[in-house]
Amino acid sequence: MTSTSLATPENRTASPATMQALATLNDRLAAKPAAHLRVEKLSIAYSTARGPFHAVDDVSFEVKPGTNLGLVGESGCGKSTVIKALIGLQPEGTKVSGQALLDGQEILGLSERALQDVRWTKISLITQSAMNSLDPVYCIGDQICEAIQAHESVSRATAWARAEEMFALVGLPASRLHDFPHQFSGGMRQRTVIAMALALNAGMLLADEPTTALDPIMQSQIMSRIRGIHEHMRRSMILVTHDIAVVAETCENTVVMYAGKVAEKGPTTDVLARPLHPYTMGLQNAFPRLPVKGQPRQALISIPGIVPNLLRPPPGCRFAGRCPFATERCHIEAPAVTAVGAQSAACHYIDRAPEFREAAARPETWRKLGAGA
Amino acid sequence: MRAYILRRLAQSVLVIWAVTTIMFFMFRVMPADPTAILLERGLSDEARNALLEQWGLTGSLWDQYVAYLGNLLVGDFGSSFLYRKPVWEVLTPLIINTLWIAVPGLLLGAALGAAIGTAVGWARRGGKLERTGIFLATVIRGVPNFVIGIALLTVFSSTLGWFPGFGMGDPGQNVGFARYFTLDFLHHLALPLIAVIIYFMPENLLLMRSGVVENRTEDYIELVRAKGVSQGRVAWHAARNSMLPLITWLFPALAETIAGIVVIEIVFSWPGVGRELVLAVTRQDYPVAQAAFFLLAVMIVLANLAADLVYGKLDPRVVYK
Amino acid sequence: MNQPSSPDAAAIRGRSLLGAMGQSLRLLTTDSFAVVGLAVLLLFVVIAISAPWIAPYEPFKAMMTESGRLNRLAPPSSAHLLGTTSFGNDVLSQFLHGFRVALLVGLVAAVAVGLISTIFGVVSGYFGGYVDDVLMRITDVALSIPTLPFSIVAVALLGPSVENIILVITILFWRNGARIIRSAVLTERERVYVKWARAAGASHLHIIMRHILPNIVRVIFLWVTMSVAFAVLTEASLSFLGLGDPTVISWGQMLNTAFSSGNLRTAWWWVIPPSLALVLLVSSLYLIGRAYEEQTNPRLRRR
Repeated sequence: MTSTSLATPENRTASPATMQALATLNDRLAAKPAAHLRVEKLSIAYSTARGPFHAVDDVSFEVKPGTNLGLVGESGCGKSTVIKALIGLQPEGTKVSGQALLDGQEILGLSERALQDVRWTKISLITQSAMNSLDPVYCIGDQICEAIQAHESVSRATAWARAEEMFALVGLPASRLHDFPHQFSGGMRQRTVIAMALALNAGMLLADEPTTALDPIMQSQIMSRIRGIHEHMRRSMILVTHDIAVVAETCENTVVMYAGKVAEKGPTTDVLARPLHPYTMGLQNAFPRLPVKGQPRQALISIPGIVPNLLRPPPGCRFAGRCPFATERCHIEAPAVTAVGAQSAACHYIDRAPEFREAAARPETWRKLGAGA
Repeated sequence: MRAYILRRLAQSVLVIWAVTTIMFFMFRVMPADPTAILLERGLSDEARNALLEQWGLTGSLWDQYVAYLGNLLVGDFGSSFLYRKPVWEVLTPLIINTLWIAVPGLLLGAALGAAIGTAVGWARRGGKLERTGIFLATVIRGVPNFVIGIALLTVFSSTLGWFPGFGMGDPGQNVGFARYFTLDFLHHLALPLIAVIIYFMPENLLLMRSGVVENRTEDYIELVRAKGVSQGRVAWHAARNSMLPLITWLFPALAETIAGIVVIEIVFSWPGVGRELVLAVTRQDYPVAQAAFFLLAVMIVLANLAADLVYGKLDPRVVYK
Repeated sequence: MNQPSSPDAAAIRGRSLLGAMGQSLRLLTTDSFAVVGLAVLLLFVVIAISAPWIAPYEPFKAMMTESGRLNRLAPPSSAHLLGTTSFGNDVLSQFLHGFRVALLVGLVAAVAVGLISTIFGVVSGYFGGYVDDVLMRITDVALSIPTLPFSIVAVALLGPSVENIILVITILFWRNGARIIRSAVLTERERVYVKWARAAGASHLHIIMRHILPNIVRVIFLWVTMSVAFAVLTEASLSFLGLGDPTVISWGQMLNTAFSSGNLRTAWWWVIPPSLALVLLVSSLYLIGRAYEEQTNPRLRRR
């Protein structure tokens, strides 16, 4: 593996500091293999004043060592809820059931004490809103050192040197470790959060919409940074995003979530080239695609309607209310998961997917529904 | 930074001037004759006028005011009607006595309140610890300070006899500063000090609790938790951020509480500035009363200034302009 | 709150001040601590009103024993449920009359403080400019005046009477209230519906009465509640220091007499009732105030 894989818009010519950081990092990486994660029948219900809110329902997926799994869906689909539960950050009183085996170890329902040992050494988090994710009254370096020293009995000087390496890795000058969060731009804070997540070479990285709070140019910079790091370090990773284009560029596998359930999952290339679930087809329409030569530019089509109220989830398919192809059966009977090769989807009419795909590409298919609703 | 401090100092001087002016007119315009207490002792008119002149009480109100300000500038508060000696001489030992119960009392009260407040703020929302903590703190906050004093006095002094309930004790051979380091002095100090702590703690506790509750749902706390540090360390992050609003409240309150210590000094007959203020007012010894009042006002202004500067030290986002 | 995308008539009309007041009071009943506080407060008001009828004796009447001597420091008995003082006065009668002074001073001072701070706060916050500058300078100075020493000096100079005590308390506490209310007004003034109302030609008075005041009622109530507590405490402290109105009987004064006559340690029947009543009254007010505080600070609400 070479450092050329880290070539990104900002550091196409890697600085000596970066090279040095990568060299020492390689030694430590060798000591800690990428993790394997298997999530089985994960269900999560928040307790609210008006009863349980079933944010996540019967979700299963697997992250193979060194691969990157994309978790996509609109906001409010339970993607972030899954991530929070995996690192034990669900709010008090939340019911979590199912299994999540990290290298064979159950990580759901651990005590706070047991969680302390798992967090950051085995599984670490790149948070959603880096703007507010750093403690305003401590300097950046202290906050990175805090993570290192919580788990390894190393001197502060050693921890600081490690923080400098991590900073070099994300392309920030070591001198700015003495700065406070308010002195950083949004992009710099996001990179700080990434550096922090890498500090202990956890085998599993959770990235929870790492770029939503940033402007588009910064978004693409940060994403290529994450891609570069992923390619170089080969950690296992779950990337949560609502942008299906990001998944296409970054992730080997994709899980599409809708209203707390898995709509479709499989290898990214398959899922994007031949979506089986109408929701995936709709999501694809909602994001700009690179224009293909000779074909007309496609208009963006958003899916009309809103996610159903999960205080009282509908009995049938949760997407039925917004699906242009829904039949009566879809509203009554919840569809089972059907596999087609490596890909699988929860739709009654999986056989008619090719026909749906063709119709879904036409804007009027979705517009009709919008008018009817 | 220096420019900022200078500007704040100038502001403080202005405020102190305003307070002194209010005070001056309060004492002079009110229909009370400062020489009344002396007249009872059979003072001749001549002697009376001489005294009035000596105290700067002759001439027009405006002349008196100018003379008074001039004296203040050189730190001259005049002399006591009653003790017949300069006010400074009367008050200096009393200031030290007041600081002896005020400073440790307020620091311990604030520290204890902040610690318990963090625990209550960190407890489960709506749980037993939170509810009991809030309830007790609110009720204790409602106990007037003289009632705290009376209760301590009755239980620990009269009934159990553990502590003396009156004054600072007999200095014996220890005069000057040496007296403050005798066991007897500390024995006398205990109850008034505890009274100040109980008096000052609940408000700190409630403020700290609000701050921790506000901060515990912030995103940065979530990331600290995710890092896998100990529970105590996570709570510390919330507490450290909650200290900022506490500091802005603490310093003005500190001076305000020094003012409230008046009552505690009376209950325990502790010879401090506050007790002297009350005595001077009832004996119509106005120079002493004025000076005591002035000292308390200066303390408040200085405390406000200190709050500003400490806040800047604790919050890296503050920039002094 | 969802802000509608276009001005509608209801938004411009605003809401009634009385309705908002009622709503704020009803909100209190959802907080169990505040309910306890309200219950105690209600009980105290009832006792205060009926004090002259339920008090067994005149508060200053000297009691005599059968042998014709002054009945000094008698422990509780059937004739004197709470015993007598060192001057032979019936403690229960004095105690019951104490409710009147405490609540009178507390309520009158708080209403005065509430009115003055609301007027200054609203004028200064709503109109800004010159008035605002002057007010802020005044409060800058006023906030540096030590409260209790100021009241000690002022009451001593003005003469110790209930009216003067109320006056001094009002002078002391309006300033903080004006500041708090002013900042609440500043927030309300910038709201979209206020701008619509103005664009629709509503008068300043209309906007203040139907948009600003109804939305800051909780802040005002919070400050008034706290003012009652401060006023009760200040009156009690002054009386305890011997600067109370000598013509009426108050709890602080009872404690002062017990203290200065040197009977604190023995005459528990004389000391406990006024102490306990003060604690109950002030704590209840703080419990009510706390409920308003939780409601006016959205970050304290449970999610």
